[in-house]
Amino acid sequence: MNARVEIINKGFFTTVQDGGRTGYAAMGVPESGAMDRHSFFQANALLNNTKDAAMLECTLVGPTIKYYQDTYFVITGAHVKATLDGQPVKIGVPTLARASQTLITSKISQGTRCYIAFGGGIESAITLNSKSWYTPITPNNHIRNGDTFSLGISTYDISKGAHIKYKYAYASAGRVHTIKAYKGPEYTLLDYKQQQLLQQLFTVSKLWNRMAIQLQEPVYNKLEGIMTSPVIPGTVQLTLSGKLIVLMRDCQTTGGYPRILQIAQPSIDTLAQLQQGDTVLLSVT
Amino acid sequence: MYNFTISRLGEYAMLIQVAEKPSQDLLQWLVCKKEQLQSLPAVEVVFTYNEILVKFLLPLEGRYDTVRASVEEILESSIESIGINGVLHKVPVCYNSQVAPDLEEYASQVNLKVDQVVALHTSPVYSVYFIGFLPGFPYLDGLDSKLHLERKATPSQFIQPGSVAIGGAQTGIYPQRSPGGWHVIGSTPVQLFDINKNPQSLFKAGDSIKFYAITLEEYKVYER
Repeated sequence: MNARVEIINKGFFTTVQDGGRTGYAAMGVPESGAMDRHSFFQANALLNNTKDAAMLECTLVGPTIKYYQDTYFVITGAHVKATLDGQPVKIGVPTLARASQTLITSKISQGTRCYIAFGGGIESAITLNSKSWYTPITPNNHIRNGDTFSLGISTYDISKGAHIKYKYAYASAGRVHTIKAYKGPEYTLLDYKQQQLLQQLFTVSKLWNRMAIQLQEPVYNKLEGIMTSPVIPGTVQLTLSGKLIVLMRDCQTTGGYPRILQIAQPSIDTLAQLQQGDTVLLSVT
Repeated sequence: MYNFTISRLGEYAMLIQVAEKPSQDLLQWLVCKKEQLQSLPAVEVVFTYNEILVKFLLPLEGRYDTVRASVEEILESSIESIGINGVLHKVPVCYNSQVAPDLEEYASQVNLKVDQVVALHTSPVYSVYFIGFLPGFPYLDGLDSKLHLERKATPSQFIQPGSVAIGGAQTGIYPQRSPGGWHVIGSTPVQLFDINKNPQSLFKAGDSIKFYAITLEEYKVYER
């Protein structure tokens, strides 16, 4: 019998994500998948799961989870206070939860999203070749209290331990995060002053979610929209109002605002850990 | 054969841009090239009006020139005339400000009366050029130039499912509640994307659409 876990408390916004849904953009279906792929892949590697095994992605406040069978799990990504039946759980260290034990994860202290992976991965329904939740492809986009998840067969072997060492990638709040970006297809349409303005410090606005992050400081703009063209996670659009919108994993597949930058993959992971008020410096190469 | 430029979009994708206006010939070329480019290993290929995006599973770093050469070879090859097997969809639209929040403001911005907007919007047979943005969202070719209006400066946070909208020279239908920068001039009760159907998307590239106006009462009957 497969192991099973139950969500006692859903936390703030917890979703099931895997490596993403590729191959359906021609139907307008977003890629989705873990926002911080670095932490996602590390969690699966630590548990000897398959690379793309599905897990919980928890935003700001983590969930409370009850275990029904002995199950290995690991937490990666943002720093969160976690206890298993009252005992502290170390971030990045595979831990055995015994049947009937309860994992409580609470407020995230550093970063925005933590990942809770289980040995064998979450065995939820596969929709268009992925387990990533995104409505309307899946019934819900976040978990509810009382949801239960079956887990796959774990191949984690405690005697061997983890083959990789977990490395926390996000420095403390208050720091300026450098975001590496390539020039986008419409970068050359910017005038010199606009290009200079991209060197200012940008603040993450209150508009941030799995679809996009809007930056607060405007770059004046007279550029009209472009003919609708492909966009992907990491594409930075310049809206008519001058706001920069950084597209994230759940982003639309096409867009009509000039694509002035394309964020490098590791920096998309960094952005996934930011929240309102955090500051970024765009390093354009 | 069209002139094109190839550039990188991040570490994993290549963007092919054709400096041409949308046309049925270009659409045929895009459909054909999409098919051919899919023969490359580990890719997803999507196209819009005049661009093709090729996504790779592995980074292009260190192998960009090799991959680019294969892409160029495919793009430069001639295409056989393929008939696109399109379906004509007749789509009911309610043009009433109760379900189309931007209709009156839009009409005044393009200097037309609402019934002129309706007449011009329901006249053409639009060609479904591609599906993009959100699951099932059709991008249509053929909007009357009198109806062209630049997108909103600031996108709306929430646009209702079924909203028929205009952005620049384009018109389309929002399949689900989402943010969006287009002007909503109508609403259709038709469901554009259903994960339980096969195919999931009602429209596909190469189909055509003819809108016809329905009253608010008819709309509500459809809506149930």
